[in-house]
Amino acid sequence: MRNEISYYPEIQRFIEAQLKSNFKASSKRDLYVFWGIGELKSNLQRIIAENPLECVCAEEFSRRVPPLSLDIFALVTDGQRFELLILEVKLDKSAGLSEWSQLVGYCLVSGAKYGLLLNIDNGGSPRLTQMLQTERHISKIQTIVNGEEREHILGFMQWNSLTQNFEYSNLGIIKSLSDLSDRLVAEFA
Amino acid sequence: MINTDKAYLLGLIIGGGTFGNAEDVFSIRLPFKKWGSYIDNPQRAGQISRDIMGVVSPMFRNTYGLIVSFEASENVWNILCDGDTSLLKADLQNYGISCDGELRANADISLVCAELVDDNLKRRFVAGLADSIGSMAKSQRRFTDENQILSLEIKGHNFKFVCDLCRLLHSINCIPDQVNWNHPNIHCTNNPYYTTWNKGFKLRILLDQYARFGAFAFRTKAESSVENRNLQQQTHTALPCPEQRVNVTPSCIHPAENDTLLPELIRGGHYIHYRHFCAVLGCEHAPYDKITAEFSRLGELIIPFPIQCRDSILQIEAIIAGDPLLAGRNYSDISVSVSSLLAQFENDRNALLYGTTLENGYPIREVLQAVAYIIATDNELFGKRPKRYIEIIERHIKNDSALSVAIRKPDLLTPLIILGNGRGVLVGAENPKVYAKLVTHSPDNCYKLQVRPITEEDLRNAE
Repeated sequence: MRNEISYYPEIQRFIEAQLKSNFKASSKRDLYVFWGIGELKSNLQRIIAENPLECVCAEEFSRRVPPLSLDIFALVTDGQRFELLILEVKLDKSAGLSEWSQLVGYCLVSGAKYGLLLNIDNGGSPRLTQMLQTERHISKIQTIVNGEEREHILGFMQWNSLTQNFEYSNLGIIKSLSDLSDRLVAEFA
Repeated sequence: MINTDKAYLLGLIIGGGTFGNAEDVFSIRLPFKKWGSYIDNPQRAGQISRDIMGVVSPMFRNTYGLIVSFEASENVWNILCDGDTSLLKADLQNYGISCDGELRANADISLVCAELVDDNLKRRFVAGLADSIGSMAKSQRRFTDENQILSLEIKGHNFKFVCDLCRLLHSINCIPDQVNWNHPNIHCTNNPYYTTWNKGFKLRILLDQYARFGAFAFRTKAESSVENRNLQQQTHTALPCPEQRVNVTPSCIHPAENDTLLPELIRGGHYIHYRHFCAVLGCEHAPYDKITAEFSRLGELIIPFPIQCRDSILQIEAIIAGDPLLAGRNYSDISVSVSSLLAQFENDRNALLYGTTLENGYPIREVLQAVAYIIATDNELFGKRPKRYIEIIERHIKNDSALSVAIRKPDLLTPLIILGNGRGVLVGAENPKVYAKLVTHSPDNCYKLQVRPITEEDLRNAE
């Protein structure tokens, strides 16, 4: 019986491949995706130390971000700008509002712009599904922190461990990995 | 601009998409036949519907704003895509693909392939094709369960499409194991009177190779892949094309080699092996040296008569009457003991009968297969093919040791005619020196072989 952590590598590989392909196809440039599992701050600092050339742009952010335990996060950068993507990975019969709330919390605290709730081989609970269909504001959250406007854009997808592929739920603002890639391309333009 | 989801959808659409006159709807045909039949396999059919609604539907909705539904008949599933198709059509037209009729029949995928800038994008595109036209049915298995195959099934006569697709697969290490080109030299190598050669292309990949380097998005396809691979005892790896063996066997000239359905580059040529097409099409992976090495013995490989044509007596007589070279012969009617033929075969399996030199004559193994067809009971035949022909002959000799067949032997080495039991067979002779003179190389393409029809003079002058 596999536990949730055993799925992390394949999910990371797939997301990284899609983001890089899409970025390359539209920008003709390389995108760098660095992964961290567990605590955010120390992992970020490790990634920056190991990849200073690509990640120096995230140095200041890494100093002010609070320590925070996450499932997985990705530092996505073109070498000049960066964004943080948080993954909340579940191996549940159905992912519900409490898992969504967890993702929202992580994004708010860390300042990560992008968050994905991923359930392995299963979808969302009826209540979460209904919420995400009708309450758009819970997947596109705008805040003002120290006078600075922040935006958190979230989505929910199902990982199919047999096909090693995502099945999109159309729930949340991030509808697909191509959609997420388009947003990154626009930001890094 | 391409992205990974569009790449998958384009694969799916190019594999099975059909556009009609309606502006706001098109369909994707999934020819799943028995594999996806809701009568034969309701559980799988249920999963296919979940694949369509869970995988394809959200992707179409996100990417092109189209609403997906489906309909299933016994053998075919159709994904129906409704809505404003203008975005999708613009994408296809941008890649030089015209949205008319069945796309794969005429599509040129070279522009799409150029946009697939890395292996991941290529894999997504190939996954769309594999989900729509990839077959893992039992019929694809090569002789045993040990070599499981994914066969991409492509109708029509779009050789360039198949060649481009093959190159694309090669570029991601999904090296095709075999390409069955939609051509008479592939689909009917023995009988020029067999007219139903137009069976489509089959691009076959070892399933192990595909599982390592390819992808499926349909759960049903991924499950079938796992099930089929579990039937194998070993894991199989494909060799790069230039390293693969080229085993050429004789094939007869077929009138449909000149069929106008075939593209100009292919039309009018005779092909000695499926990899010969690759050379003529200019593929960089073609085994040019192995193909040209065979050109030194073309007289052995290209037969201007049927190697074997089995049919009813009436049909065989009609064929003879319709061909002046066959009709104009003087035939000697002889009765030949079947056991003497079998003894000759056992003595020398490559023996040639009734030749004028040591190098020409009718191959004993072809004559024996013909004899088996003539003497077989209906249940010993698989269509017009005698099942295990030597066993049939041995069985019938055991019942009647004096068994003989009627043979009509022509005065020149045109086909031998074997008759009986309401059936007839034409057996072509081997005559390499004469046949070699019929072959020339196309002035436009040194790998393309052109073969002129044989004449009575060719046969007479040889003697």
